[in-house]
Amino acid sequence: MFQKLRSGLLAATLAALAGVAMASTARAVEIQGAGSTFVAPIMLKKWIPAFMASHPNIKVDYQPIGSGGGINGLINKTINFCGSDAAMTNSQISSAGGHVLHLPEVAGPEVMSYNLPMIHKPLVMDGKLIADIYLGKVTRWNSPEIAKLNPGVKLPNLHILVAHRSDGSGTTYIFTGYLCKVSKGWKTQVGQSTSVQWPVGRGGKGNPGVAALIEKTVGGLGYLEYAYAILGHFPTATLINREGYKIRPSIPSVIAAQKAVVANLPADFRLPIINPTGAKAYPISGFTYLIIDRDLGYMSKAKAKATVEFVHWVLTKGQKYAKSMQYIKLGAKMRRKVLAELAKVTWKGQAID
Amino acid sequence: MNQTATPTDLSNPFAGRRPGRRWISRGVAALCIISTGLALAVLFVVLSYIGIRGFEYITPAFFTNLPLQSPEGMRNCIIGTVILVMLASVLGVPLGMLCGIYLAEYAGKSLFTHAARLVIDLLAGTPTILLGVIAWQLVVVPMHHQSGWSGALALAFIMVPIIARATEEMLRLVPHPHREASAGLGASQAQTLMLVILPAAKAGIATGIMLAIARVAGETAPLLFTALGNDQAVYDPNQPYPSLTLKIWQYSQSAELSWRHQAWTGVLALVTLVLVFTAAVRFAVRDRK
Amino acid sequence: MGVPGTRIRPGTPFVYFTAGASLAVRFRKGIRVARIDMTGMTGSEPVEQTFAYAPQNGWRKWLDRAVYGLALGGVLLTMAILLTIFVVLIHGSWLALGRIGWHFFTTQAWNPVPGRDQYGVLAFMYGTGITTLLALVFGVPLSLGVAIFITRLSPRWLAGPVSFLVELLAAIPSIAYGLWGCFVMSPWLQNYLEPAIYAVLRHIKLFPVGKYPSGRIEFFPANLVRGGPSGSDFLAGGLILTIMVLPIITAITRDVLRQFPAELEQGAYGLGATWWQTTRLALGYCRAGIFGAVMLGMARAIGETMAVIMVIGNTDSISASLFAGGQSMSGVLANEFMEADHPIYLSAMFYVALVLMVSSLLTNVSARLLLSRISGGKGTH
Repeated sequence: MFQKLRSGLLAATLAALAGVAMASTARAVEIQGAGSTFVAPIMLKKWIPAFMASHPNIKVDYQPIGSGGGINGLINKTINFCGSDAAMTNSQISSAGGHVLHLPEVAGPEVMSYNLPMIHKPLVMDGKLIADIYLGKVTRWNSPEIAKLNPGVKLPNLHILVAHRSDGSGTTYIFTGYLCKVSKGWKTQVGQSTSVQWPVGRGGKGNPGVAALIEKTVGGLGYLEYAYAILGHFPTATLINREGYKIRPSIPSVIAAQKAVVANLPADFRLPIINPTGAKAYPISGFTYLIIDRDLGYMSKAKAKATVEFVHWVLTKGQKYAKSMQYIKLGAKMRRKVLAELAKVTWKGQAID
Repeated sequence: MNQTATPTDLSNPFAGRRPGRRWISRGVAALCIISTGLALAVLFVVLSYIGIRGFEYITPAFFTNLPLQSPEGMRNCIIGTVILVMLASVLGVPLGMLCGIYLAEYAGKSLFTHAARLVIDLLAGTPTILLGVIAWQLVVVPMHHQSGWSGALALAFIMVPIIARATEEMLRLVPHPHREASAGLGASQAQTLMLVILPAAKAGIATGIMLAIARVAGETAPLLFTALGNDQAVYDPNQPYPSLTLKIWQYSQSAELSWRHQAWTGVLALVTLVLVFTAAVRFAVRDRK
Repeated sequence: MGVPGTRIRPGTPFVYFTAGASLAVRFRKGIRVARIDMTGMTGSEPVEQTFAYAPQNGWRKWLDRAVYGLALGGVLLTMAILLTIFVVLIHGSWLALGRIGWHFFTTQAWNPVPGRDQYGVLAFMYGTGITTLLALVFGVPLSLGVAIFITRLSPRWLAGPVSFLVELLAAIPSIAYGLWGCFVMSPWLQNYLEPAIYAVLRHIKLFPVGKYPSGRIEFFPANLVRGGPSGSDFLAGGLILTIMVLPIITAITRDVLRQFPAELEQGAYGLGATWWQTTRLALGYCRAGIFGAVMLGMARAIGETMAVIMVIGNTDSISASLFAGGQSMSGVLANEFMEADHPIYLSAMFYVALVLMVSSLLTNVSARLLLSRISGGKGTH
């Protein structure tokens, strides 16, 4: 038996090694992306399968490990492209070699989701209240601060179980940026980053982790990318915007917010859409970016070509999948700007086709 | 025990007839039985949840499709885990066996032997996530990307001490007269080792190897920074590598219901793989009637 | 070991499965018992070398040398692995060791925002420590109960299967416990167990405990259940670890309890001791080994990653509340290692890894010392 087992194991190992050797000589070009979980639903469900169906020679893999991990992968050159909801900081860009391209792919709102089965009407919140909850100053659902904004709603006597991200995340970057804008206390005590020191709450890994935390805890509250709230059938809060209007998260209210910002958009697109002016503008939303090096010389030419091809496809043909997955596609003008940016990519100084 | 002993009973610590001591004895025995029942209940509950949830969502596509196909499956992850474990064994098994052979057959009572034994014990006790950190530094950083090799290296580090200890134990169990007889016939130590001792101990060593394999097949933490995961049918160890445990981890943290269901099915597949391997250890030894 | 075994081949050892998947091998002359099982812990009686091989020459000499060299090389390589671990961890954390130094152990702030860069391991050490402590508080009595049941209560036909099943708990991968903990245990805790505990303990004020916000430890009175039931907290982490340490402590305690001499047992009964009094005698006699078993269980709990991060709540707080979320050292590595995007952040991650390595090392060394005392055959009574 042992003999048989041993020879079997040996044969299997040899076969596996042979398979491994064959796989490495196969034709297909494999490109690796990682990062944002914000974009993962459309990336994994639509873009990669559709792209691979039309480009049989290219295999694309995307690991949703969080924007922080993606940016780090780009800095260390371990991946070919990075998905991130946070623009890279200047110091990150310089450690990544100094020249990266931020290419907005889609935009989306961030929503406050909660798990209160007894409440059937969307709750109303404003920036100060959210900041106070995340600072640990408001701890119960029936506290006067919430009741004031929701007259007539019978609020339950429950602890607010605050959920946040445990990984470095662009979603967090946008959210904390918003809190900095609306709360002095938040700005001095915590600040804005892809991962901050949370005064209260529990962490979940990625948007899905936060969604899972909200889902399994009655009384849970967390910030989520819109697609995840839709996916999990969570109620979302109505937010009071800068001009005092109650705004539901929706595609039109984000487009209104974008309009207010796009005019001032810097050349490298690094600007979150938070607390914009405009009566119909939703206060928290952002672009999610594909980030690649301006010069792809660190990978083989075939991979560089495949990467550019994939990014180009996402920015053109891929845009049509945005709406069904609850994202907002780029406007025509914006898209032209982004494609012009993509055309600047080189491989060891040479233009890529 | 002897607080209640009367002066005349000093020679017998148990003679003090503390009232109710038989009831205490029965009570403690009952508590022991309850603990055992509780431990077995936990096993039963965990396994039955895995079994029931896993079976509920199992489909043929699970074994034939890739994660991004529709309906989704984990074919590449299952194959990836199997190959990763094999690659790890190629390094881990010989190294572990050599350590075991040295400790059982060559080691005297020197300081070096003590150190070696301690090192192997400590390696066995090292948190596996740290082995992932080490493999990341040794392979991922110079290679500039995550890869199957780095994952296999981390798993091999875990296998070495398990196999080393199993080999040592099994060799030490071979009775001394075997060695004496072999030496008496003029065999050298190496011949004795290869022709007498290893054959006598091979069932036990195989047991150790299979337990080590079962153990690393279920590891997740050391693969997080090394194998990374892959949704494509890519089995080139130079690339980020698919793994069942990584996929389960990713899906368990997912908002999408169908993915969470896949996580349960994945866990069922993993636990079946591991338990079948562990149980196979028994049959491998019993087979030789 | 009275279980009838299977004869394997004439002239070779009998291999028995005794307790569970443990392997005991009986030879014609005398019984030697070794364990290699799913818990990964082994132990056997030492063997004395009593003779020398005849000197060889020619190819046999070279073969001898080659085999010896290979074996020695294997051991050296393995020792090099452990050395490499330390070199890599110290090298990686060099920057943080210089810049943060001992402050790492006195601050609980963990703020990787570039420019702010505050790093303290305290919250993670607390998370690891409290979950490990809870695992031992629940797990040790439970494991001792099971081990006593197997060795001293159970009928012979039942001891083997029970041992096997308990060891099976060690064979289940930690990701499986994590998934079960996250989706089954945690909601159950939140909806049933924790509200019950909350109702009892909510009014009991405990000693003042620390909680940031500013990186300092601040004090205010709190109780064991502050924050209310959530299901993702220290208690959940402790419970999931309880399940994971149970098979290890049980298996080793069972083995050391078997070493309790029959004469002592019979003597105690002869003097009129009850079953429990005899058992206490056995526990006292084997206490070093049992401590060793507990330490090994502790080492397992300290190093565990996946199952813990799926239930502990992943936030860096220090709170005496069992219902507060936390983070362990291995958990912060799993969550943030890949995201450390500037040098001091990465170096601080390595520093956490170094602290984790040293804590698990100390626990393991003390466990091995305690266990070698008994396997060395020295009486401990």
